[in-house]
Amino acid sequence: MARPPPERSLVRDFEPDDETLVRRIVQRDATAFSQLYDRHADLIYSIALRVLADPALAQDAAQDVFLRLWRNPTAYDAARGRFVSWLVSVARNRAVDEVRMRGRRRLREIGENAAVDDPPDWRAEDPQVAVQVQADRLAVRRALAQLPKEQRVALEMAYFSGLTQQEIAEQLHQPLGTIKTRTRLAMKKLRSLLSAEVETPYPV
Amino acid sequence: MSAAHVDDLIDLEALGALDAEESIFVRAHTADCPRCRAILEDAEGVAARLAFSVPLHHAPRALREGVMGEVAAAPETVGEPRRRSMLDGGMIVRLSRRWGAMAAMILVAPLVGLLAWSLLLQNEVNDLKRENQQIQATQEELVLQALPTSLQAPFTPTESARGAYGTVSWNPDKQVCMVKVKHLPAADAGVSYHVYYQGPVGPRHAGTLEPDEQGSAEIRFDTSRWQGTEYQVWVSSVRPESEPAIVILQATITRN
Repeated sequence: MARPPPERSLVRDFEPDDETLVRRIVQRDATAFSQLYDRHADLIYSIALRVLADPALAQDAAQDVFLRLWRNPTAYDAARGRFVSWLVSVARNRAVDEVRMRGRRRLREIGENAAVDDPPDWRAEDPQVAVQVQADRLAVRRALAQLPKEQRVALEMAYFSGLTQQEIAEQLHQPLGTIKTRTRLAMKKLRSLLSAEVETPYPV
Repeated sequence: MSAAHVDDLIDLEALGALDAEESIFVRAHTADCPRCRAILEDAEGVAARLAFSVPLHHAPRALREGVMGEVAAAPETVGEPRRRSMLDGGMIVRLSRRWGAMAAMILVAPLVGLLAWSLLLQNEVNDLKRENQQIQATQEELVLQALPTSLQAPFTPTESARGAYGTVSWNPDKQVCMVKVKHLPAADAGVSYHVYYQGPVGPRHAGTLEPDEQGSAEIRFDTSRWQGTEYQVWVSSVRPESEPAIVILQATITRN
């Protein structure tokens, strides 16, 4: 089967990369910030929505993430990895903080119906989203889909809910050791699958 | 939990799924263990990629308006204080998430403080001991010089003295002699200064002078064998290459 054309074709060649835009933001370039916002707003909002399960809270969290970027762009250290990886971590942490602050009150439960089973709003797929982000999304979703369901649930509850292993065990009515084992196995397999994805960024 | 590697906890820490105590333990360990720190950073990279798995939704228009509105009104310089309250939800949560680390710091800080304080005290004690020894020596010297039975004689510098001078004090009753010298020439490598006196059968080594940065030095030595009435005392510089000792100060002290 022929490989699909590289998704780079979806991105206008003249657009600067994220790291370049961040450097311009440091120089207080609002246009660069606007570009970066448009490039990643959907992803950041979606992460917040995934964690908070509340559109209003997700909007607040995403706004906070972007305003932090504007106010302190030097918080991103290019030496430690890609900008978007840093930004999604900030978004996740900000949203999890919100959940914890609200005493883990959720509008819906994370777990059985979470993440990869959610119907994505593909209208949000924006051709201006960076190529690597698209590849990451595809790779991670594929990898998660290959995990046993109980491992995937434990993994996603840990990452997206901010629950401790003990709390996950209580919610799932499983022994703590079982949850820890599932989570570790899930991470191990995810690592392996993602490593393989790196070698074949555009699998058929 | 032991101080061994923390492999079993690293993935869970990367996911943020450990309780505060375990998290502190892992962070403390990885701070000192390059191996585990590298594993943790790798695990954090894997965990972070989970964020990309979310189904995409359009960000509301209001989000863009809110962000851009704030940016338009935001300070033009990086890192200026936020106009919104610092005690927003995220701040509170971050503070609460770090309560464990803060608690650990609160527990550790007094220990570190005590250790530093004890070191300072030890240094103070050592300084006081040195000062006390100096004061004691000075007092002994003063007492020795003040005693009516003490005999004193100034050193006569030789051509090699190069500005050094000093005195020799002998108290026959106390059977002690003190040699005090100042401005000894800075010693070349290997050169040392020695005090000798003329014994019944030839020169006797009384002791070694150890000058400080100012070239001052003193020694006390026993004179219980001094039964005569007149003694020669001198200071010589001695080189290691078996060269003859050079007399730099000499004195004759006489008992009436």
